[in-house]
Amino acid sequence: MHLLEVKNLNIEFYDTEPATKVVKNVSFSMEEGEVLGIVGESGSGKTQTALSILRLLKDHAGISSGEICFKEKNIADCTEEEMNQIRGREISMIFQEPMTSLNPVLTVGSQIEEALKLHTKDDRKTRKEKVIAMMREVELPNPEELYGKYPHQLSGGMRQRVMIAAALVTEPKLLIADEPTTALDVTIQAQILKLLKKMNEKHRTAILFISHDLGVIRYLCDRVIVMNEGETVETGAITDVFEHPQEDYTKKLLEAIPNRRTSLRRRRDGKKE
Amino acid sequence: MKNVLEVKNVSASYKDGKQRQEVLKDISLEVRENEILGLVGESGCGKSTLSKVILGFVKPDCGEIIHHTKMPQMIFQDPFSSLNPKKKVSWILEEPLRMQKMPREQRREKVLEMAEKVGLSREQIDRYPRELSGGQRQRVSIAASLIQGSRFIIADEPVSALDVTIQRQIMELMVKLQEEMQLSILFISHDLNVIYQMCDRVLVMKNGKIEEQAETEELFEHPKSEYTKELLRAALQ
Repeated sequence: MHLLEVKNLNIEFYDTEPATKVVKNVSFSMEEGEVLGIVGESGSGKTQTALSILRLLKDHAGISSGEICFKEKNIADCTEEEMNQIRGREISMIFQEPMTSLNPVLTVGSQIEEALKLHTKDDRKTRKEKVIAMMREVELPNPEELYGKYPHQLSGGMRQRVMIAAALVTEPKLLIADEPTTALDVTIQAQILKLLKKMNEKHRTAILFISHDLGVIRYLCDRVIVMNEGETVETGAITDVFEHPQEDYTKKLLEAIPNRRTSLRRRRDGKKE
Repeated sequence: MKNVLEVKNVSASYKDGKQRQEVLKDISLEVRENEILGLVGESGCGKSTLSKVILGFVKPDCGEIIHHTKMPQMIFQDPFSSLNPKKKVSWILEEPLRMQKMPREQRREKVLEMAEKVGLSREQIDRYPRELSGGQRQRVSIAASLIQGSRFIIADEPVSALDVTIQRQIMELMVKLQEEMQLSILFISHDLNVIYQMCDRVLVMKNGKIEEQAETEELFEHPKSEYTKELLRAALQ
């Protein structure tokens, strides 16, 4: 049984005449515990694909055809109530800018706790224990003290850890992460990626990781889907796609990544030889 | 080799309530003629403040800033916010020339010449900034920075907001222009790999101080400071 199966997904934006196709015939599946990356440039349809899994597309966007099945249940057939059971319980999502997804007037602890309130029958004391344990697991310093703090009192990296704690406190089967490290400094990014890897290995939480950054995808993912202009360009195991790309677009993308092998400066190349 | 800029023992601070927060601590550097000098560091290290001090927007508490050429021009991460949304690109590019009272014909000629240099078509410069893509807008701001004849540019994260394929085009364009016009560029970035590909020399900043400076190959192959080593480890390849 696949954990997630997306079949011939088509998404359109209806705010133009005619409608704009933003995702075209995208199909993929994910197994339990797997880390799958979707990589693409702006406008490739990667975020829309991710949002559609949780039925979180904006009003002007919609699935025109195709199926999304989570644990063999078609998401389109779920009632809004059933969706609310899936969101945050079975599938969680984290975003690029934690500041905009965290509520500025609620304490960190209460925000991590929210999913437990909604999805479990735990009493207050158990909830707090679980939250503190989770905060410890995402390596937030002094969880007891931090529990009562507000998002603006935290650094960007710590906010992203809070987001991860809030997303994982219910032990979901799937975490969708949309550019979660893009706004962070490299040293913090490295820590967050390491944390995601640890959580994946420890809890076998599957991760659908969306990024424009091929380096990040390579570090974290088992498999990758390369998307361009709404279409799947190439899919495969990380090492295959990175070392033996089949498609021209993938090759172009890989060549464009800034690296430390070739300088653009002829002058320096001369010096090296 | 001559310098276009020398910064000597500069310290700067901001007022933070009743206290003063020191953001630049005894910074000394020089930008040489005809080089791309990289400035790398994480958020809050003072790299943007340094560029403001160089341009005179922030007064240093002490130290000296000596310009050997015209004031440098700036290029920013998001060109959209620095381009007048109500004016066509050609108007924006012409503006400084208009202020110099250059005749219309000559202005037009100069704009077309510059547009060609940065890879913008005649048709593209007759559009509004919002009608251009991110990469095209960055081409516009590069053209705008060069049109008055300045040969020293400070570029603050000029490719950070761009997709990789576009990023690569802009990096190649800047290298090409540097070579053709013998520009001096102070290239500020948080991305070590971009720095590696673009720069001749690199300064590493942390907490308002220069941690290390060296020629690019030297810095990447034999980093001396612990912080540089940490940055190099963290940057994915």
